[in-house]
Amino acid sequence: MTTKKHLIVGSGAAGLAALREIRSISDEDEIKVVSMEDCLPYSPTTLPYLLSGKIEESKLWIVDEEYFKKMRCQLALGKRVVEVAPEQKEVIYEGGERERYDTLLIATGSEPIVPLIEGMEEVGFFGFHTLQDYQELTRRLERGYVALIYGGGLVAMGLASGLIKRGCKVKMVVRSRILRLYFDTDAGALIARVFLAQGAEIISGREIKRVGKRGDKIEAVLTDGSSLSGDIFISCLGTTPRVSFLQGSGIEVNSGIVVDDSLRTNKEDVYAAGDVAEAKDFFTGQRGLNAILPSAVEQGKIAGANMAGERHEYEGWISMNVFHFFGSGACSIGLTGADEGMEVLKEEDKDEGRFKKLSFQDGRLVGAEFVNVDVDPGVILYLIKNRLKIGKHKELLLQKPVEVSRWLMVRNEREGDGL
Amino acid sequence: MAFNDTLVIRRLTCPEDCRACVEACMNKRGLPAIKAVHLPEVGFHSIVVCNQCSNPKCAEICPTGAISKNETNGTVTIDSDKCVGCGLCTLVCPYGGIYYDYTQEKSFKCDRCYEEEPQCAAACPYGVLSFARSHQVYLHFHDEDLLASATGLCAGCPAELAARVMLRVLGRKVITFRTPGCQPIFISRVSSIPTLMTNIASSMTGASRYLRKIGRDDVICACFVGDGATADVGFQPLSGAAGRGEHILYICNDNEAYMNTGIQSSSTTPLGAWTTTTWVGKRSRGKGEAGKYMPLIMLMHNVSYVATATVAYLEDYVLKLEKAKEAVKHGMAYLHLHTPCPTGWRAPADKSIELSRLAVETNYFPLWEAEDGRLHLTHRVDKPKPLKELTKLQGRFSHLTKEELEQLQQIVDERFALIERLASS
Repeated sequence: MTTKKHLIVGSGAAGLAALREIRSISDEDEIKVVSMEDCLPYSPTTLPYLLSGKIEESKLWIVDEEYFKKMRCQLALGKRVVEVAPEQKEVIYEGGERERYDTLLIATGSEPIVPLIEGMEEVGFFGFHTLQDYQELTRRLERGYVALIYGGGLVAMGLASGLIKRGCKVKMVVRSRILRLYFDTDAGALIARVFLAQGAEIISGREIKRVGKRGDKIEAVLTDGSSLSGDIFISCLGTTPRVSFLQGSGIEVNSGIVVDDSLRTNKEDVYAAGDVAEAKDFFTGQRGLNAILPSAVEQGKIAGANMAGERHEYEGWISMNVFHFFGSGACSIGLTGADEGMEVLKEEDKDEGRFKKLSFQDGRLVGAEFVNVDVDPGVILYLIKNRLKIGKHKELLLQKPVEVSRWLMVRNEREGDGL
Repeated sequence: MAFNDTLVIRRLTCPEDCRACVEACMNKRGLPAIKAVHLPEVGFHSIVVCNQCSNPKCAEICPTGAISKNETNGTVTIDSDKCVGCGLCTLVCPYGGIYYDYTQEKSFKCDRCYEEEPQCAAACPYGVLSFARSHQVYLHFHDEDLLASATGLCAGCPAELAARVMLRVLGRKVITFRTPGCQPIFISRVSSIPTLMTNIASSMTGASRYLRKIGRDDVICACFVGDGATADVGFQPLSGAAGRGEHILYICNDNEAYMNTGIQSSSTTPLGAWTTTTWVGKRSRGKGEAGKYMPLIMLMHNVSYVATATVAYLEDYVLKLEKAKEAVKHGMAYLHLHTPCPTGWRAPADKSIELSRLAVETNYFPLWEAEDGRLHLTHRVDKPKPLKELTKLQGRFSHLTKEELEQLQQIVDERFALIERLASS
């Protein structure tokens, strides 16, 4: 058998998962990981924790050089792919250098969306997505600094919590409401309450019309005419796949790179995984983006296995996240909307700040949201992923989510063993 | 190679409201990394704890690489200096084995008490939790593989695995003895002496006595022979050697018939089984008598060490081989291996290990050992499966009527009751 050369562009979670998978299948194949950043792999997920001083910067790296040696993988840092030529099976780097591959994985991740608001050039765009962003932010930070954050997603909330812990004042402008993609209005309100108690200011349902400099302060004018002033303006309006270099390559790009169930693009031997890929949705089967770490790992694994010559199919991504803030915890798994035909059970204890919500379809769990309920999110995910019939135990699952989810999981595992 | 010692949760439910393991864990580490799950509404009482997965999802997802599987002991551990407390690991673990600590704001999980005996297993009064040292099996995989890589055995024959493990554990200081028959130890890197089925025990006796006379009692005389040689034609010298307590290690590879010569019935062939000499037709319904149960017969000879084993329980087999190796210094050691024979049992070749396991799980072939005559079960089956589970995979039993199967079940039950009585006395 001849050996193959696998080229992985991007050293994030998807790229590293593919590397692990390929190496576990093939001992001989050549593997090369190319990263546009000039540092070892890290995850943007950790940036808010760096900010709050949870770990030292030196502990950030997912793996070290030694790891790549052990995996017999060539690592090229600070190298940017500017073009892909699938017909020639080549990538072209900045500077014109070309490299051949047998299989290619595009795992270039995402970049923050730059808001189209007046005065953006004057103030300068500042996102919170890369290590460089973090370093620049901490260089500027002083105690008592006032940060204007635009957006209310997980990155915005994580950033806000990190900044508060560092003694900064946080003002957030959220176009609809915080964590809209993960939690319903009531749950969102409970989470917001914790942030407000920490001194954050959250303005919901408003957009920023204009930003500008006023002395050494930055001023943001909202759609209702009111204005906010701060020392720094950070935009966290979500991310968009990093795909601009694929123009003219013939690789099909919709909002992200369109991939089939094997994570392959429309071009032979070219795969995509992670934030950059538009892959199958677990519930609908439709293609869509899902820029979260668990999906990146899962997709990277499947793509890697297929690149190494095995045949694996992607089950589809499920929206999910966990979020810990100021001694509280929240998690959201699966569908959060109240679609037709969905049965929703909900329970809220405002005084205790506790919230539980379960969504069912055809007697199966399809979504769950918890605030300050100490469930095993992974076990809840297990119930959803395995499409377990919950049937008459729905109410009990709402009352005792920890015990009932563990029981259903254990029962299914043991029956799976033929017991 | 990771030594995969494992915390085993037996498939029992726990007594209501028992928290012994949780409390033991708390005493050790403050926060319990094992969770009791009591759900009286459905009568479910059990525990969840980290499985120490071979490909841990928690480690795959950790955004700082803080979670890893320890290469020497197989434990999945968290490097607390690297953990940011994002909780993503709790989101992907399907087994409820990793948790968030709100005080430290970091994840935590079972570290299996590192190299010590896990406290939870030690504290469990009901045998639900135990600590399996499959570590022992893996240790021997560092040793030389003394058996040739090729095998002349039938497809799916588990005797090769049994013989390979036997030689790994016994090492080079051994002389093997063999007879005509299914002989997996035929080609190996240790000395081997061919004898006959009728005289193997006396041949071993002679060799072992000579070795002791010349001061080479470090060399073990061991055999790996079939049930025909053991229970029928070679029984007299075996009984004699056992009675005298000769320093030999006798392994009976019991596939329940003379398989090598064409599936003729032996005295260990079970009741009702088809063989080429116990036909199934109008006048004959397979073997007409119950199979002889050799292990207890050997126990009654006052043999130093007697044990039963199968390859489905490899760690159990390895521990028994180690004990047998030690016991030969004081007297005779007898190991009775139950070895499914796909050819003779008319069973699928890919079901051998499953058959070995089912033989134990149905109590058809209980795992026990007796050191200096004291018998104890080494693997207790909580809810024995009906014998049908074992027989339905074998063509040699396919003719059995419900009544005939019940007769066989009765033999199995009575035999097991006897073993249990011996174990408790």
